[in-house]
Amino acid sequence: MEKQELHPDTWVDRYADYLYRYALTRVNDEELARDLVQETFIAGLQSMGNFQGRASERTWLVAILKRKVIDHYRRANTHKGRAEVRMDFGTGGEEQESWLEGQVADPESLRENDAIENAELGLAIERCLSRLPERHARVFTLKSIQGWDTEDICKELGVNPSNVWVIIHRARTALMECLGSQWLT
Amino acid sequence: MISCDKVQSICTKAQYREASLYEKGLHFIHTLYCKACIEFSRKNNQLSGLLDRTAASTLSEEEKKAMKQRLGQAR
Repeated sequence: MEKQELHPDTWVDRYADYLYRYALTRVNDEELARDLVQETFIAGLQSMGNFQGRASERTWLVAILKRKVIDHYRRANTHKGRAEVRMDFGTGGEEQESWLEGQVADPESLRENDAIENAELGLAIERCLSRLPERHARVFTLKSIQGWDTEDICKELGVNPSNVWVIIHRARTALMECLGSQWLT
Repeated sequence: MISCDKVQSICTKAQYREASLYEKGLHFIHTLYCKACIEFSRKNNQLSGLLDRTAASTLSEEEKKAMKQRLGQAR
């Protein structure tokens, strides 16, 4: 296997979204997920000397992020005993919110679940994209995720519009197959 | 008669609002009778919806810029 190299200059552009989604599915907190990704990049930079080139750059960064997530939960667990549990069953009479209505799912919490599901979906799409030829994945990402104009993609990659559409069409067909019944009904 | 391959390519272009009126007409007529292309178009539309959803779980350009700056300072 070809020895892999590290290119920290491209880390944010190439891996930040992937790592962010990965972190988000594990910590369920957007700000914390962002911080963990930042810490991962800095830790990666500091331990570049330990990289042996046997794993891909992304795999190596994910391994660092996994450790960051574990560290986060370890730190959180050391404060576990300090948690305060407050249960209120509406003893304050009519002025207080109805106990039953109080149990209805908080819309904010539903949005958090959406965020996790979207992050999981993003990871699934990235996994499927990684199975495509690199050029196909690049064209597809520029067009479908980053929203580039077809003309700009042609200039950037030196291809004609017909080629761009053939590549995008093949990529979408492959993605539909790859995402399968889990995401498409 | 237009082939299914061609119709499905038009469907992909239409996902980005880049299919011409003529192409959309061809697609419409074909999907009046072709079940395979109806199914393909349905899934292709769903995929567009999924791609829109994933945009919500990406970092903004500002956040990425800030990350790059902090990474630059750490070097």
